Parts: sequence; structure tokens; C-alpha cells
Amino acid sequence: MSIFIDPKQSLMDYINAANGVTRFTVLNTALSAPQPVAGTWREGTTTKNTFVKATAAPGADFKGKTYLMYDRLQLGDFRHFRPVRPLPCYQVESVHDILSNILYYYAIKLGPDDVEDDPITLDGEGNGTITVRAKAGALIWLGSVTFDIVPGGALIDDYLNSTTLNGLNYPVDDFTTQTSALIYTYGYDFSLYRDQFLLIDDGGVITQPQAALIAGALKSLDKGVGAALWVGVDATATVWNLFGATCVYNGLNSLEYASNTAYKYILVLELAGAVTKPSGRFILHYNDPEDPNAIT
Amino acid sequence: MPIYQGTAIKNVFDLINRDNPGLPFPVNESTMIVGVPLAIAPTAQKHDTQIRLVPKSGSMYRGGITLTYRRLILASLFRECTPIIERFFTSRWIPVSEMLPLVNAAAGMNFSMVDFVEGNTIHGSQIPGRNFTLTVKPESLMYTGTVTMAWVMGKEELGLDIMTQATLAGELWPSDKGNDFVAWDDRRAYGTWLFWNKHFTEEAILGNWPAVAAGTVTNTSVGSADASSYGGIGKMYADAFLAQGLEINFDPYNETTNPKGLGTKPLFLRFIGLPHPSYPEANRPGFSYAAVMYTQDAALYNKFGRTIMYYNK
Repeated sequence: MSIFIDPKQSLMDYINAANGVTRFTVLNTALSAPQPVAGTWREGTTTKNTFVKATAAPGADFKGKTYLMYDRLQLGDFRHFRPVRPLPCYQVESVHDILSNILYYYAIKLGPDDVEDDPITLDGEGNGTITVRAKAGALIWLGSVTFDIVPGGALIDDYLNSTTLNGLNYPVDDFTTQTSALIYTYGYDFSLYRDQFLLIDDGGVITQPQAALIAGALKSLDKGVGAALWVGVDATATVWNLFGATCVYNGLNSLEYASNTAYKYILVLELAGAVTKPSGRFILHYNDPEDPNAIT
Repeated sequence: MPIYQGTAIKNVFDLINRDNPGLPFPVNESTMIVGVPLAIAPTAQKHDTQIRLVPKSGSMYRGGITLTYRRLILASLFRECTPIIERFFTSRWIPVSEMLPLVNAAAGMNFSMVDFVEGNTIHGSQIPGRNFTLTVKPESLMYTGTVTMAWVMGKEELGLDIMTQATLAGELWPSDKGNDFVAWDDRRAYGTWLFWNKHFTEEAILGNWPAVAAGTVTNTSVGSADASSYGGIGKMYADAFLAQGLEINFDPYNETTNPKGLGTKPLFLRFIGLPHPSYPEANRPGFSYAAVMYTQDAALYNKFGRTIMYYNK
């Protein structure tokens, strides 16, 4: 598992394991830069390719120094275990930009101390090739490995910045208190009142008889709390009151409104400003009477 | 148009894309896994839901992100609104899955069984009274809570409940060849017409033909040996063809020796009470009964079809 964690910690784990202890940590034991065995007098004394000096840090409950022999790993050797695939990267400029991609797609943890930060050149499509080179002082890595880069691998939280979404929304301004007029009347069929409704003019305040007519119709259709409460000719009631309502539109159904398309006509009303319930625009739906002789 | 449209998951992705325009790669159902929504204490924006979005394998994204938004609280959405569903159903229970399309039509919603718990809604014969309640699944991405509506059984609807077969089998000319007149010559002497102008009340009384209740059938058969049954009904049948000068020589008395007879197949005879739904061509004002005769011989049947002999008693 050492290739998935910080190299210094990884090496410390091996030191502890080799000595049957757990006392050595990155805090109490300093490690020098690693040195190649090749070309030194140690070459004849070990099969390992690297040595490093371990020194007791100030404050440690031990003292002194020692040299440790171990193998650094060739970067490209992981391909003995993993199929060669392109590395998905997006908007990257140098090797250090793709280290998290290498960890995500190849499960190799490389840090800025491990590899050179060579520049990456991508074509207009975001494709390219990059050779990742181990730094001379990399603690557990040697050599290099070349990746083909393809577009992808974008960290979603780098791009999806608005995480507090503006919705879902209700058809009223304050859903904690308000009753939606739109939902209230969506399913009601006012076809019985078709002839009277067609006489209501756009753009003006409906007459008191019209308000009374609509209030009566709503009373007959509503089987909930509104049934008993509707008034049409009360100038003072602030809820369930059609007095002073304005006809915004009356005519053929239109995509402009969130109307029920099962109906041919809609009557769109706005309650008087002082009336607070139900909230929003009313859309009353109605059809022509059914003609048994009409075939469409 | 409905007040709410699209599936719950599509609406959530629409929110994400609306608030995060210009994403380099698509963020949608195809590219992302949406975790189970987690109810959270309402935030300042009244957000009550948290979800985790994780790119699918092969997506152009990696990592994961947590988002908050509002699910629609049904009690708030339908505050003081009681949608009424008027629909006939053959039982006093109707499954939620069959109720949801009706709810959508009546309330302008986009409810689907992805969001709601299956079960039965109770028929409320009177409203207000026995309403029914729909319950949202905890994993719904769009809704929370429950909503109560009213169901009125109403009358059966012609197109949905009764006249469900829009295409009728007829009108057909009375033959198993129907209205296919490619073989026109084969049926110009069609048997139905032979007795149209004659009624057999006298023969029926004398021959003891049965008085069958309207709509019912009494099956019998008249073979050569029984040609004299029912006052010689088989002979009457044969004689009627002979009277037309048809070239076929009917000989119901000795069909086995006469190759031009009715063949070795017996006549079929059915006494029917009129009107009868299976014999619409036989329904005729003024007559309560009919004897329907035909042969089992396919070639002859195709030529002469059913012969109808009307009578009263």
C-alpha cells in the first residue's frame, strides 16, 4: 500500500516493520535526501539501489544516526500491473496539475517533491503527451513514465460552484404561509358558467355581479376550506374575496399561462391588492358545451 | 400545460445547470449518480435537502460534490387546496399507481411512482368525507410529506370504461367473407335472402319450433336422417334453393348417394330469440324468433352462408 500514501510515511512504515517497532515517526526521525548506491563503496555491500541517512530529531527519546538501504521504484513499472490507458485531464498546464488525476485514475500518490513540474502542451482538443520525471531527491521514486492525455477528469467541485441551488420553487412567494391560487383552481371545471364568463372583459375590474357569480361557482366546486369562505361583494374581507378582482385575460387558452390544456378557454384573475388569500393569479378553465353532432 | 413538468431527477439537474451555467462537460442523469436525498434542518433559503453528486465511471468529471436545495413539501404546495379526482373505477379501491395520472391531470403535477409509495386509495363516495392520502417515498428527489385529495367515483366514462373497443367488427354483409367482394360471384345466391319475404309462423306452430328467449340460442342439427324434423325444416331449406332455380341439386334425403347434394355434412340449425347480439343481421322488427340454418361444408357455407327463417308464436 505504500504507493498510495506520503513517501516519507511509507518509508517510515518500512523502518518500523524491519525493526519490529512502531516508535519511529516523521517527527522524531529525520531522513536525508536519498542517494543512489551505484557508484559508491556500498555498491558491493547491498542489492538495494538507494541509501538514506536517518538521524534522531531534536527531542527524540533516542540519539545518533544510521544508514538505511532500500529500493526506490521505477515510475513506469506500475504499468506491469495496470493496462496502459490515456490519462483524463482538463485545463492543466504542468505536471503538478495532473498529480491528483494520476492518483484518481492510477492510484499512485505523487507529490510536488516527487516529480519535476514540467510544462504540459495540449492541442486545441485538449489532447497531448507528457513525461512525468522523478526528481533526483524523490524518496521512493526513480525514472519516468509517459502518459497520453485526453480531455476529462475535471474535478466536479472546481466547476460546479453554486452548490446552494435556487429551487425547487413553489407557485407562491412564501410557501410557508400562502395558498396558491394557481393550484387551487387548476382542476376545477367552470364550463357550466361558460356563457357568463365569456361576457367578462379583459383588463378591467370585474363587476360585483360577476364577482358574486365566480364566488358562487368556487363555493360549489371547492370541497375544502375555501368552500364556505368565498365572498364576492364584501369590500372589506381580506381573504377568499373576489371583490375588486381584475380580469387579466379572458379568452382562448394560451401557452402564456400555466393553464390546464384540457380546456378551451381561460379566465385569468388577479385579486384586489388587499386580498391576501389565495395568492397569485387565478386561472379559471372552461369549455364549450359538448355538442353530440360535432365531430372533430 | 402542467404546473410541474419533467421527472424529479431531471428537475434537479435542471436546477444544477441553471445555477451553474457554462460547465465544461454535461452534468445530467447520464454522467452523474445522485445519492439518496438527506433531509436537513431548513437553511436561511429554506433549503431542506442535501444530495451528493458523484460522477459515473467514464464521466468527464471526477470527485464528488454536496448540494442543497428545496424539495416541495406537499402540505405547503396544496395548502388549503383539495384536488378532486372524479373517475369511475370498478372497485372501491384504486391503486396509487393508477391514481397518479388522474391526480396529475386534475392538479397539474408530474407525480410518478418514482416518488410515491404504492398502495390503495379508498373510494370516497361522498365529499368531503373519505378522502385519500398520497405518501411520498423518502428517496423522492422532488417532494416530501403527504397530500390528501378527494376521489369521487362518478359515472362510467364511455370511451374509457364502456365503449373501449373503438373499432367495430361490422357492418358486415352476412357471410364469413364479410365485405370482401373479390369472390363476388360465389355469393350472389346468398341464402339469407331466400326467406326474407316469407315468415314461418304457421310452420313453426305446426312443427313445434321452440320459442326461445330473446338473446338465447337452442342448438340442434338436421342431418339427412332428420330432414323431416320440425315439420320438415330441412326439406323447406332445400326446396327454397331449388325454387330459385339454382344449379345445385339439393337432396337432403339422400346426400350420401348424390354428389351434388349438401354433402355428407349435416345442416346446422339454431333457434334464436330475437333480438340476438351474435346475429345482428337477423334482428328484424316484427319477429321474435328465427331459425338459422347453415351447412358445415365450408364451400357451401361460403356460398350460401346462414339462412334465416323468421317466425312468431
